[in-house]
Parts: sequence; C-alpha cells; structure tokens
Amino acid sequence: MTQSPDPAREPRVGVFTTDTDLVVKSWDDSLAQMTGISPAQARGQRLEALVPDLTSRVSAERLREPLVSGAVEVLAPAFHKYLIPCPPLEPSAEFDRMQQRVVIGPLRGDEGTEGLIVTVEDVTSRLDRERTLSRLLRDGSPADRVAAVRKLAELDNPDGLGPIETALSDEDWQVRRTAVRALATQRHAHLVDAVIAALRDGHRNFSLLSSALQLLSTTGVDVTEALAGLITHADADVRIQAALALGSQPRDRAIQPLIDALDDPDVNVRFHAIEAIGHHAHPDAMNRLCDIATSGDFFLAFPAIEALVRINDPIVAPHFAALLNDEMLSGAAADALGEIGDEDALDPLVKALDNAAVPVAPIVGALAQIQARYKTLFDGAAVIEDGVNESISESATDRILLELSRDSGESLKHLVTVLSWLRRDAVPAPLARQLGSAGARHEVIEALVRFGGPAVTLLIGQLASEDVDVKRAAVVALGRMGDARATPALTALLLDEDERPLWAAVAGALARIGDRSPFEALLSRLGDHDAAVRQAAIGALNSIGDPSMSTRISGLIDDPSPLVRESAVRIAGYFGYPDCVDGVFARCHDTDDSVRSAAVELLPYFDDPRALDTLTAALGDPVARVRAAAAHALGSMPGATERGLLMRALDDPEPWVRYFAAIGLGRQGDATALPLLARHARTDAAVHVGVAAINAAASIGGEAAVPVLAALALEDGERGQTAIRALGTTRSDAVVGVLREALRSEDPRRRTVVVEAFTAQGGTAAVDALAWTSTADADPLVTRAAISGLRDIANRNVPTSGAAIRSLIEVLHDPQRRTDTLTELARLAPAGIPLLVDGLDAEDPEVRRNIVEALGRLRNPLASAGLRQALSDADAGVRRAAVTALSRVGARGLGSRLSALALSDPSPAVQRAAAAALHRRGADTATGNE
Amino acid sequence: MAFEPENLGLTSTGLPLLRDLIHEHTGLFYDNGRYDSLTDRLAPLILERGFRSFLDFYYLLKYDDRNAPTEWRRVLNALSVPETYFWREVEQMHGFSQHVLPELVRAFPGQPLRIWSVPCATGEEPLTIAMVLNEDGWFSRAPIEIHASDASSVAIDKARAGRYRERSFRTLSPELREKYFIQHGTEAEPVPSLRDRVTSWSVVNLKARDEIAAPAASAPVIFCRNAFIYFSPQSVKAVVEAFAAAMPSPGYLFVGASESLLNVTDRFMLEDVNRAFVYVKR
Repeated sequence: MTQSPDPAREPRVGVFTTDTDLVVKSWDDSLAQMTGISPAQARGQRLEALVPDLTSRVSAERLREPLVSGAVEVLAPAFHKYLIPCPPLEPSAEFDRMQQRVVIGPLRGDEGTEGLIVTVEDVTSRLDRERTLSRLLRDGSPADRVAAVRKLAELDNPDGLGPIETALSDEDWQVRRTAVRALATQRHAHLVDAVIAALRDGHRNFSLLSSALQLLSTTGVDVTEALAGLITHADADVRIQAALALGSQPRDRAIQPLIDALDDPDVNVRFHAIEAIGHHAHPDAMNRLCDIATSGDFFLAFPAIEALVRINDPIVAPHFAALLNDEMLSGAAADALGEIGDEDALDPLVKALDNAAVPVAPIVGALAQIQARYKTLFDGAAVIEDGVNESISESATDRILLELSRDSGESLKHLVTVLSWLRRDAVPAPLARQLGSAGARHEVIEALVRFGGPAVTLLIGQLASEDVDVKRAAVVALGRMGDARATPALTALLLDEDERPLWAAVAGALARIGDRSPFEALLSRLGDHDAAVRQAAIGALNSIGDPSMSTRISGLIDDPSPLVRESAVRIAGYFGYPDCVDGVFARCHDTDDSVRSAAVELLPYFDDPRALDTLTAALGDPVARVRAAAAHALGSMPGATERGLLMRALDDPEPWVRYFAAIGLGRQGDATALPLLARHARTDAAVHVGVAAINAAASIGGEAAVPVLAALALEDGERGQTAIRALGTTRSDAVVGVLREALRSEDPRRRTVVVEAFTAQGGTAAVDALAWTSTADADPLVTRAAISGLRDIANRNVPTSGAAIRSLIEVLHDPQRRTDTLTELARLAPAGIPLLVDGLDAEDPEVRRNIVEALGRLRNPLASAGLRQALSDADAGVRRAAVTALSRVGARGLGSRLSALALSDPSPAVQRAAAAALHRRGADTATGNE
Repeated sequence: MAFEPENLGLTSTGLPLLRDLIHEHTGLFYDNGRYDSLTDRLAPLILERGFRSFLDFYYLLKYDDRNAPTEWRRVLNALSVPETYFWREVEQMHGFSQHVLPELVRAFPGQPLRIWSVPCATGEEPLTIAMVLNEDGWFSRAPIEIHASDASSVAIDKARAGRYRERSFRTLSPELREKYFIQHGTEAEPVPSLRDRVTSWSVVNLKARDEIAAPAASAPVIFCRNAFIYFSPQSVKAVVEAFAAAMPSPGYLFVGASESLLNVTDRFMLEDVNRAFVYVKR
C-alpha cells in the first residue's frame, strides 16, 4: 500500500536564474506551475519588472548581495512572506498568497559570478499547520500543548526554532520537557542563539532557565564560546548561569573562562565556577583550587575540596593533610584523603588522631578507604595496615576503642577494620564485645580471626552469651581460627539440646578445627531431624576422618533410623570404605526412598562388579528419585553397557532421570549418542533436560556437534544461550559466523553470552569480534565482558594473546571504556607485559598515561622497566604518572633521575611529583644511591 | 560459614545463577561477602533433593513446574531470618501509639484501623504492637485490627502456635511478661486476650506485588522492619513503590532503626514522631 505525499512534508520547489542585471535567464516548469508565469513570459524580463512590488518587500541590496560577496541569502517566509506573488496551490485557511522560502545564491561560470540562481519553495501548507499548532500551544490544555510541540517538531522548520521556542518557558514541565527533547534532536545553529538568549534574558525565569540548561546537556551543540562571552556579563546572575552552563559543556575550552571566574568579585559566581570546574575535573585548575581550599573561606573551601577530589590527583594530598586539624574542615579533608590519598597520607591522618578536637570517625574512614583501594588496585593492603600499626600512638588507639561503643553502620565497620591492623593487647577484648553488632559482625569476626591465639579465650567466653547471634558469630570465628582449644566448649554446645539453633554452625566449626575428640558427639547428630544439622555433621565427620569411622559407619548403615542410615551411606560413599560395601548394596533395596537413592548414587565409588546389575535394576525403580540417582551414577561409570542404559534412560518419563542421563552421556563422550542428544536438545519438553543435552553434545564435541549447536543458537532463552556458550567450547572455525550473527541480538544478556563464547573460542576472529564489541556495543555490561574476555585470552599464552593485548591498548583510546580496560590490563599475566610496554609508543598521551597506570599496578620488574622508560615521555602527564607509579612500587636506584626531574622538568607538576617521590624514598635518593 | 559444601560432595557450579534467581524472586540479595550464608542455608535442601550441585537446584526452581512451588516455600523458610524478640525497637511503637494513631483515628472515624506487620517472623512484633496499644488503652477506644505476614510458612506456623522460648523475652519487662504470657515449662504462650488481638496470620512474599497489593491497600499503617537490610537497593525500591501505590493517604510506613529510604523513593516523607522516625505518604 502506498501513501499519498503529505503536502507539508513534500514541498514544491521551483528554480530560476538571472544575469548580473537581474534579467531572468531561465524559469523552470515547476515555477511556472506555482506562479502561473510561463517560462516564455519570464525569460528576458528584469526581475523588478516581472514582480512589480518586489523592492517594497526585499531590498535591492539584499538581492544583489550574492553577486557581490558570493554568500547565499535566505528569505525566510516569516519575514518576507513571498518573492513572487501568487495564490496558494492548495486552499489555505491562513493565507491568500503562497508563502515562499527563497534561497538566492551566486550563479558561477568560467568567468566568475554570472548571475543569480534562485530557488522558490512553496511552504504555505507547513505554515498553515504551524499557525494552527501555535494557537494550540498558546491556548490548549497541557496535553494539547505537548501534542502541539511534537507536531511542530515534525514540521522541522529550517529557519529556526519557531513556536517551539516559546514552549521552553511553558508553565507545565511536561510541555517544557517535550520541547527540550524536540529541540535536542534538531541541532540547529539557532539553538545556540535560543539558549544564549535564554541565559542572558531569562535567567530569572526558572522554567526557561532549567529548559535551557537541560538543552545544553543533551544536544551536544557547542556553545562554549558564546557562554564564555557571558561569564563577563555585567549582571552577576547571568555570570552564575554562564558558569553553571560551562560546567555542562564537555570542552577543554570551557576551563580557562571558569578559572578566570574564580577571581570574580561576586562570591556566588566563584562558588558556581568551582562547582563547574569540578564537573570537568581538569588538572589545570588544581593550583587555584588548592589556594581556595586552604584560604579559610569556608563557603568556598568545601566545593573546592570536592572539585579537587574529582580531579583525583594525589599530588594535592598535602593540602588536605594541612586541613586535618581545622575544626571546620577536618571531616571534609579526611574524606578527601580517603578518596585520593596514598601511603603518604597515612602519617598526617594517624597524627590527627592524637588531636582530641579532631573527630575520630572520618579519619578512620579515610584510613580504611585507602587500605581498600590499595588492596583492590595494587594487592597492597599490607603497606597501609603495617604503616598504621607502626605509627599509631596508644592514645590514638584508645580514642578508636572509645568510639567503638558509640558508632554504628559503615562507621563502625571502619573502626573495626582499622583496629584489626593494630597489634595491641588492648584491642581484642573490646572487639569481641562487638560481636553483637549485626551490621559489623562480619568485620569483627575477620578482625578476631586475624588476632588468632589471643582472641581464642575471649571467643570461648562469648559462647556463654545470652544473645544467640553473638554465640553463632563466636562459633564461626573459632572455626575460622582452627584452634583446638575451642573444641571442648564447642562439643558441649553440640550436646546441649538448648543450643540446637547452633548445632549446624558448631559442626561446621569442628570440621575446620579437625580435632577428632568430638567424634562421638558428631555421630550422635547423624539422625537429627534437621537436614542442615545432619549434613553439617556428615561434613565434619568427613573432615576429621577418625580411624574408627569405617567400623562405626558400617554399624550405622543398618540403624533403625532411616536418617541415620542415609547419613551413614553418604559417609561410606564419600570414603569408599571396603568394609561398608555390602551394607551399601543392601541399602540399595532399602524401604526408605532417600536411603535407597543415596546408596544407588554412591555405588560407583566402591568399584564393585555388582554395581552394574544393581544400577540396571534401579533404573526400573518405581520411585523417580531412585532412577535419577541411578542415571547419575551410571554417568561416572565408563562402558558401552552403561552408555546403552543411559540412552534408554533418556526416554524416562521423569525429567530429572533424563537430565542426569544426558549429563552422564556427555561425560562418557560417545559420539553415537549425539543424534539422541540432539533430539532432546531440540525437543525435550523440560528446558533443563534440553540444556543438559546441549552441554552433553558440546562435551562430545567434534564437527558433528556444530550444526546441532548452531541451529539451537538461533533460539531465544536458555537453550539458545547454552548452545551459544557450547559453541565457544568447540574449536571449529565454522562457529564464528554463527556467533557473529548472534552478536546482533537486541538482548544484551544474549550478547554477553556470545562474548563469553568468543572468549572461550579465543581464535583470531574471536579477538576481532571482542575488540569490536568492546568499543561498539551500547550496553556497558557487554563491553565490560568483552574487555574482560580480551584480557582472558591475553593471559592464556596462546597465539592470539598478543593480538588481544594490542586490542586492549586500542580500546584505551575510547575514554568511556578506559577505566574498565585499565582494570583488566592491571591483571595481565607477566608474559604479556612487554607488549603492554610497547603500547607506550601510542600517539595519544592519554593512552600512554593509562598504560603507565596499569604498569604501576602490575608490580613486576618488566613493568617497572616500562615505567622508567615512561619517565622520558614527551607528555608531562605521562611522566608524572610514571613518577607516581615508580614511587609506589619502589624507586630504588632512581635517585639521580628523580632529582633531575624535580629540579629541571619543564612541568611544575612533574617536579612536584618527583620531589614527593624523593621525599618518600628519603636517604636512598638523597645520597643518589644508584 | 557453618559447613563446607565440598565436604559433602557438593559442587558450587551454578551458585551465581541461583543467587540471582533468588534475588529476582524474593528480593533477598547475597553479595559476595554473604555467599557463605546462602550456601549454608541451601545446601541441606539441595542434598535432600539428591542433587550434587547448585546448578541442578537452579534448574529445579526455574524450570520444574511440578516441584518448584514447594521448593520455593522451602527456600523461603530456609532463608528467612526469624530471630527477633518482644519489645524490639519499641520507641517507634510508642511514637505510633501516642502520636500517629490519634491522627489516624481522626482521619478515618468509625472505621476499623488496620495495622500490617510484615515480615512478622514468628509473631513477636505484632504481639508487641498489641501490647503497646493495649497499655495505652486503644482497644477500648477504636476498632483496631492487626494483621501479620511473613514469607516463611514455618515462621507463620510458629507464630500461630504461639510458643516462645526465653530468648524472645530478652528485653520485655518481668511485669509485662507476667501480665501477657503464661509459662509452660521452658516455653511461654500469650494470654488469649493478647493472642486474639492479631486478626490474621498469612504467608506473603514481599517481592510478589500481587501478594502485597491487597493488604497494603487496606492498611494505613505498615510495620516493615529489619527486612530491607537483607534486600538489594532495587528490591527495596520495588517493595516501597508497591506500598506507596497501594496504601491509602495518609499512610505510615515504619522501617527498622538501621534502615533508610533516603534516595529510594520520594513517595514517602520522613517525619520525626517523638524521636521515632516514620515514612509518611500524604
């Protein structure tokens, strides 16, 4: 079905040309139809003669301008209405003359400009609609106005924003939002004018202003220069708005006007300029922000500190350290050090704890935050923990301990974490008392486990607490410590009926301790009605492995209690005790279903010739669970007969029997099972059986499995995703095309699965696909998976590892992917480090700086060599990053080099970083100890 | 961690999938630091089913239509945190009784006033509400109904049975214990006049919007305390939004002292009621 053209969307255009005297040379048929003037009538006529009233509407100078300057003139219908008077082609409700949009350009020939070329567009219909919609926008309900804005946007007025501009200041927010969205998609140059005008003239109209600012952040139109002009406007309010708007302009050019605004006479302008600089996080502003942060002007100091944190350069940490003892700014300074500080920040933070006027919680929070960062980025938590332990005073320790009883939530966790680093006798007891704090219990247990021996007695004491949660935490901690001194107390709990809620945890703790003395107590729990207790007792008995166990278990296999019999069978199977084998076979005919299925499932562990017949019989058991156990067992018994049984079991009516049969066939790796598995993969009514069949087909592998998996990969849902994953495990090149196709899915979860498959496949095409996905996919989870996949291949030491590393370096060019890529590069295996160092030849200094950052995190001699190379980089940011990284990983032997940088590097930032590194390395560098 | 799955021959394959499925279904979220807690609670269920991996159990919950409903109930029972006690965070209830309730009685004159305690664990919270209101003389002044729900059917069964051991009384004064409970050996049960103040007990999964819509719609007061600390932020938001959509205005939502809805919703305003905080839908 075709649609008739919409006259508003398909405007009619006519063309004529003139010579330099504006005598008409050509007049096309379309124009003739529009105006009723034939080509014969028009040709040879002067334009003023053909259109007698022309000069009353358009000046002669304007008409001739293209002849003089070569510029194109546009006569917008809003001002000029029309060039050639004539009635509209279609009846119009608004106009008795055709409304025309006229574009006048120079007509160029071999000798230069020979005349004019003029296009005349009939826009009557569009303007008809625009007027109707304008009225609706003025008088309609909010819903009408929203609809009007949408319709106006569709008209796509090329001469400006039209009536939509008025909607920017509409009283209804939904109308304003619609207008913003509509304009944001148009990107007219007029948009800049509209926004600037809004900021300049409408800054007291909040609705208009918020619309304008929203437009700035969504359009991507560059209005930086125009805004920079406004930041010196006479009206302070305009300057404030300009500063705010510059903050949303992602342009380096916005920085200098904002830095200049830090000297504005109006404090509010300075405040907003600081906030805007914070958005840009541009290092050029660091010095000025540091001055402000330490100036004592509290109104400006807080935003300045926040902006410096966003710039995230540890070089400014000493400025924050100086503020730690400032009563007003201490908390903000500590938070900032927690965000960006390194080990140099420890000393001032720890010393601040000696000042009774400084609050403890923010300081401790900062220490915990720095340690967490070192742990994640550099695997270097010990540097922070040891540093604090060595430098903290007794009085500071006492202050933290005192704070323990006052704090809660995250703050309490930080206190506990920092206390766990301190080797002080006074610490464990107050920590043990915090086991009752639900929010910090995990941290308290970890802390007490670190203390080891000295905490054992304290924890045993906590076993008598009235609070069951405290007791449970103490049990878990004692288990983690593995100290046999706790065994008697724990065993007593296991025998106390009132302590039933703790039995599972106690059995778990006893399993970790491994002491054999609670053997009888644990045996007594094998028939407990609570499955958790029973399983924990089984696990503990398996763990401690008492020499008399097989004898005792052999007796319990015939216990009157089915729960005891099942537990005994499980232990016998776990160890494969020969003296229990007859008992287990007997239990394969137990009247209790659970005992029977446990015995059947464990038969393969006894390596007994009777097993096959028993399992064959079990496959005919009336209870599905027993048949499933038999299928499970047969899967781990290689042999043609067993495979035949498993194939038969694939026809069992119970899905779980089929599920375990499919898994078993996969384990057996027999290609003859492939057609049967393929059928179940495609058609089994139970999804999980289909999934198991797909995985089994992939395990059997070979070219024969690929077509089956490729067909299933097209399906949605779990079967399709499993097939995609399975394709990744095959080595066939044929899978690449299928996976590429699957990568086009609209479902990000499915694309993530494809990425996993490519990662597993790991060939050249897989690296290409992952590299492409890393930068091109719109979903961050997918790109993250792709970047991680490249690192995975890089670390496998396979022929494509080099290509994967080079791809990761390429991805560093994308600012949005840089953080994820850096994280992955910092996990590179040593074999890949030389290729990463090669990346220091990249043209983009930001890429080189990130490679330096990754090398700094790798803590490897090869990486350190790369960092030394980067000290000579042409870019100051790269050199500074190299100095900082070397300082962190150990700058031994670099004294002279750092001294030279501190004295004569052209960049003051590099000089400061080198001086800080020298200071940290102290005597070694001072003596030039190379 | 209570026990180690590998000592039981249990492999951890599929554990992240299972963790995410449980989050989706129940709102309970086990981050990496709490994986141990999840495996501790689920391992017995998995072994009892005759499974050897978490992946098998994941498939059961997700695809086995015949067995999944029963198994989900067992999962909820295993994951519920029934440890609570009478008179817990009672300042909030005093604030409710003395400052909120008078306003509600004025707002809904003559109508039965419904209070919903969810999750109620083994019943200590709704019975505490009943004690507080009784002490303030409310039951003779206004028609008040207390409804109690929990995701765990085992917890609800225990609540219905109404037998409490010593640890449930850790903060209740001897006078109130004497007044409201009858001792039977090591256990105590509420006196009939207290027990009957709780109008209904029911099993409700907070993550199932259709299950919470009706009770929330008829209850201007909801006590949902110490549940959100186990939820992911997105699950908290979903539950709170469901409450907000269903509750009448004014509606009062009480959460635990360590819980906050800051940055979760703007549908409720935080108000200080005699130093006890409550989120109010106006």
